[in-house]
Amino acid sequence: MEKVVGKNIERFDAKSKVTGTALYADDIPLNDFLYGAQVGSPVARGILKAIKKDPDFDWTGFTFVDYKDIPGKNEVESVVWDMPFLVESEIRYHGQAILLLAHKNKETLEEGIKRISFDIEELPYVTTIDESLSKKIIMAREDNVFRTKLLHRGDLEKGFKNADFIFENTYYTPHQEQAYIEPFAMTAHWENNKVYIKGTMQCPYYIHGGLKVLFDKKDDEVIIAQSAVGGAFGGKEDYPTVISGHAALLSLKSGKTVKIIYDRDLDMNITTKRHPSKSVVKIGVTKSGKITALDMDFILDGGAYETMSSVILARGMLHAFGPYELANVRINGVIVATNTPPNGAFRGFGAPQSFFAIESQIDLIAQKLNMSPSELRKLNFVKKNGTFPTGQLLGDDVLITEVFEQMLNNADYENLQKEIAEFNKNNKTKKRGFGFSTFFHGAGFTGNGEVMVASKAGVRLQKDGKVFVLVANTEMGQGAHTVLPQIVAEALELPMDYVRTEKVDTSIVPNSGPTVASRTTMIVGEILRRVGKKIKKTLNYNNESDYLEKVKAYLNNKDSENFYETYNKPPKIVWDDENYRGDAYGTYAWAAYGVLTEVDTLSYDVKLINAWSVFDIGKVINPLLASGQVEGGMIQSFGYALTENIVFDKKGKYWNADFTNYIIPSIMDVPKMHIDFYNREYEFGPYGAKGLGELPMDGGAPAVNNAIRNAIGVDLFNLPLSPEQIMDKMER
Amino acid sequence: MNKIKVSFKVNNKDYEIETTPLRRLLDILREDLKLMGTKEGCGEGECGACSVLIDGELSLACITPATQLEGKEILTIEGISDKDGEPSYIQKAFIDKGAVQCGFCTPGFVMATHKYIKDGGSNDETKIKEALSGNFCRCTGYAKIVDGVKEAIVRHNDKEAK
Amino acid sequence: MISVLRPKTTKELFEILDKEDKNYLFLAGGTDIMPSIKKGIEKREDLIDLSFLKKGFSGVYRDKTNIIVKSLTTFAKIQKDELLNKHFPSFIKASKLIGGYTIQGMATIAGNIVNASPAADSLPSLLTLNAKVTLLSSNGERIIELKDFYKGYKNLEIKNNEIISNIIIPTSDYQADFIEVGTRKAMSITKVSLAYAYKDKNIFLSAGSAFAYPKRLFATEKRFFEKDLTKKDFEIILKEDVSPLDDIRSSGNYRFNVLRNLVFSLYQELQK
Ligand SMILES: Cc1cc2nc3c(=O)[nH]c(=O)nc-3n(C[C@H](O)[C@H](O)[C@H](O)COP(=O)(O)OP(=O)(O)OC[C@H]3O[C@@H](n4cnc5c(N)ncnc54)[C@H](O)[C@@H]3O)c2cc1C
Ligand code: FES
Ligand code: FES
Repeated sequence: MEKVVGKNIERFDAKSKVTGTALYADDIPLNDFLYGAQVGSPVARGILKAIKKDPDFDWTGFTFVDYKDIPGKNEVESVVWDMPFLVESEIRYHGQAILLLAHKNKETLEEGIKRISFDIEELPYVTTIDESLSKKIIMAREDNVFRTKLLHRGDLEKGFKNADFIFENTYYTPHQEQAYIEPFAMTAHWENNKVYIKGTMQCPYYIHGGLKVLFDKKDDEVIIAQSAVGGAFGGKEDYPTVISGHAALLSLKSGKTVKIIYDRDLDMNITTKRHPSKSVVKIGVTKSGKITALDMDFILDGGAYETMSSVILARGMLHAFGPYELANVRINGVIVATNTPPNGAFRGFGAPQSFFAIESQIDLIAQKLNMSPSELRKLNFVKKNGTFPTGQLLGDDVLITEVFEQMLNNADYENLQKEIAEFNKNNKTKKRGFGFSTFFHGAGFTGNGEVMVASKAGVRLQKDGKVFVLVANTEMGQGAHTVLPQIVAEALELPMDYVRTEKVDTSIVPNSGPTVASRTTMIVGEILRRVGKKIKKTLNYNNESDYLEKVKAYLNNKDSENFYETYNKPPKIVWDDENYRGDAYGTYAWAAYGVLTEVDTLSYDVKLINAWSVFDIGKVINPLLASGQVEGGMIQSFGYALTENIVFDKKGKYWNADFTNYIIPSIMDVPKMHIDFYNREYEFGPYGAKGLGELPMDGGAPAVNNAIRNAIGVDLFNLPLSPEQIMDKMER
Repeated sequence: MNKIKVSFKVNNKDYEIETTPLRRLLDILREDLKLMGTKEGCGEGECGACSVLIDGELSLACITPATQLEGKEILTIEGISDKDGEPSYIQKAFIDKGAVQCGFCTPGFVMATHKYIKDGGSNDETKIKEALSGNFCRCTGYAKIVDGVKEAIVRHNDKEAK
Repeated sequence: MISVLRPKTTKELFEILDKEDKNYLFLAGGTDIMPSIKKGIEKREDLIDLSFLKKGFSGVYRDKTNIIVKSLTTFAKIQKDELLNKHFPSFIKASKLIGGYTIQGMATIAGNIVNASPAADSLPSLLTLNAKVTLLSSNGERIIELKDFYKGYKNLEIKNNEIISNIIIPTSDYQADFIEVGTRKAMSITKVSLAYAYKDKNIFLSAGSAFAYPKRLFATEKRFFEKDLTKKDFEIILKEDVSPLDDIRSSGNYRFNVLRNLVFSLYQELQK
């Protein structure tokens, strides 16, 4: 039997996407429906006094919904349920939904939105971490602080005492917009007291849970289905609950199907973004470059409500120490509140922020010590069977040294350095530099997350021998609905043609957990592999034709049967969430980036010329899809490094909520990418696979920063690494 | 707004519609003609998801008003596929080279590629990128899209040679 | 209430223009007008659709001393034009930096000129090439220098009854180039740019996003060939010509410093 794992199996959805026939949320044909919309707050903070409808406007045909129309709880289900679906009295961010409107005509609806106004008692607001920390204005809880966490190892004081040098610097990172090209769109309708949702989403069971609370419904009264999804990157993880709730409320009141589509401006203005961060990093080192202590304050801007920020803080902290063996560590995590839309999931989930700080600081120290940044890293890398600051004993699959060496090798580091020196000698205004970053990503949920979710996944075996994968994990471009069947086909020892993914609909598929945390291939894939093996064993067939006969015989007069398995925790994983001790993740995927940049000293512009990456992601199930994920993630991380930034206007509203001024990379901005994998199979992943989705996002920003440092010798501490910032440094 | 009558062709089919003069071609395609392959990513000319060809020129349906359509020939993604709805050689090249992830940008990129090859575009990477410079993709990092275009050119030349 | 008139001939167009003295919006490529109406930036409601006249007003030809670009020629067409490629590579370079290829297929040169954005990419190079515009009305043509076309922020030397019919670029043996610094490498709005054209001790300079409207840098041109000027000198000289602003995309300080660097680097180059 020919293997399917490791092959470039064609995406199941490729044909429909290239021909334009794939149905995204806004493409689904609907009969007799209304367009829905929200009317949001025109101020960043205040107390709502009254909603006013223009009496001169013809309101016939409109449906109105405010918080009083909510049958269940006005709370968005999340890690913390502190955010309302609709404002009752307190307004915490610009654009926060106060009133919902629906009308059958799109233009009339838009006119209606303009004819609504509010009486609001305006209050002073805060938009940045430092404003929030200053506590001059308190806008949430007693002290603007949503949460604090502490990670501690060893004796910090002793560590700093043993240091010859101490370096302390503060790093800032801004909001990052996911900028999926498909904006939000969601449709809702009711039938026999059941609510049906269809649209663009990452995690149908999150919406399922959220709508049960909103409408006080039981499991089978809420049915969530996914349309084709035009990109998500975390941006369609938590927010879909809100827009689905809005559509369902309008539908309930009007008795009609309701579709809500956000235009780009609204989508950028009010949906979740990457958390801005402030990291104060203090590192003690000996003369020879050995790190003796790390003390770090890692502060995230949660936005107006806490929602799921604590999990992002956790992941940020659990990556903040970098791929190093450190005896004395303190990482103090804080989430503060600001009057901006709640921040949420975005590929990397806290790790890109903390890696920017630690990996930039390590490089800065190397420069100050006059050491090569690669030597300094190698000296401090965590080794096989080493220990992470949580006390986690790592196994022999610590591969940071290996991926780093392989990256340097691929980049031909020694020659490259010579070439750079030569180039810089001959060029007056253009300076080149090479920088790198070394990083990792814990695959699957943090700590006990996987045990708590207890994912269930399965397949439906049909009489004709066809097998349908039953998972709640969504296809959003990353290729999950191709990779998962690939794993099942391998387990069944059957050709790919037999296996497809069933459409994601909570009335059909079990809760195999959300499509986040780089967990789908590794965690859900492994459950499915076991399902496949179970079927193989049960039917006990030798080859394809034998299989077809045995299926018929087994199913007898049934049309099909479902087989399920649930998550099995790998042995020896123990996590203490209270004290942040133990095995934060079952395993880690390791990676290294190298970037060759060219800085134009006239315009201070940074051009990326070449980028090398090496990833350890265990066994690569589908190389074409995997390298596509890496390339996309690299470019997203370079956008984060160089140009992506959100600016506020005087009203506390995003000023650059469009693609003209929120600068994502264009095709002309991408460097030549050299991608490589370190092939070593992971014991507990399906056919040796680990998670991949987020890893490429983690390392871009520090690598670019370090390359700029290498080119022109300036130390930068804030993202994006803008020409304006470089000018400020160089003019001084 | 006053209403106007406009006649035009879409994918070789004649249409005459009555509409307001600034109504967007994008809405006419999607709402009136039910051609859903042309996407709206930004509505302001930035992202290229709504790219179509109008009289052979690459154009953005989200900023093209109805009044400008009189007598025009419009080609959309639906008109690119082979007769039986199967992917054309460009579309197949995109599939084979992994140029498609979420797919929302894909129709726009296919249209831009079609225009480039129709104009006799070469395998030169800079030229290819210039031809696709009005289209954003957030998933792929563009590398595999460029591969897809190069592959399409090869297949186009093979076809021509035959 | 938005109204769109759709003249089928130039005669019909001028009948409309002569009937009422109104500040019409001319819908050419629509790449400025459509987004501005959507965002509520453009408040004018009387439009004239020029698409029926497009054939007559599109194309490039030459006479004895000039290359003439008809006003509704798109930047995609301009890029492919052999005459323009041969004579004005700096202008071709600029035309490739207008949005991306999608925008270039729609955007016209007249639209870029009349939109008069300080960041408009075709203007600095056209200014340094000493381009002129032909204004056409029922009274006939008048030709004015592009440098005299801009009088203030969005204040143009054009009457309500006129349209631009041609852009005239005199051929010359000047060396010219255009340098753009933008927010990214395509689909980018210019943060600052510099165009120049020189021969012997003559130079024409113009900068984008450096002043309220597109213009030449006359003070700098005048002193450009003095000996031993320093970076600091150019800082002082340039202040007479430009005063870039802070905005969402960059800071006035950055724009000024980059422009100073570009001008000074050119100076050093030409001193050699
Ligand atoms: C996404 C995007 C990116 C862009 N990027 C750039 C860029 O990088 N650089 C840049 O310079 N511009 C850019 N633009 C702006 C725009 O594309 C250009 O200014 C373009 O040249 C305008 O031409 P048009 O034909 O589309 O003008 P229209 O929008 O049709 O008209 C613009 C103005 O010109 C007037 N007008 C048009 N034709 C005539 C005529 N014959 N006589 C008199 N008045 C006339 C109209 O009344 C109107 O005031 C961008 C626009 C978009 C949407
Ligand atoms: S939708 Fe038309 S360019 Fe984005
Ligand atoms: S494939 Fe998703 S935006 Fe291009």
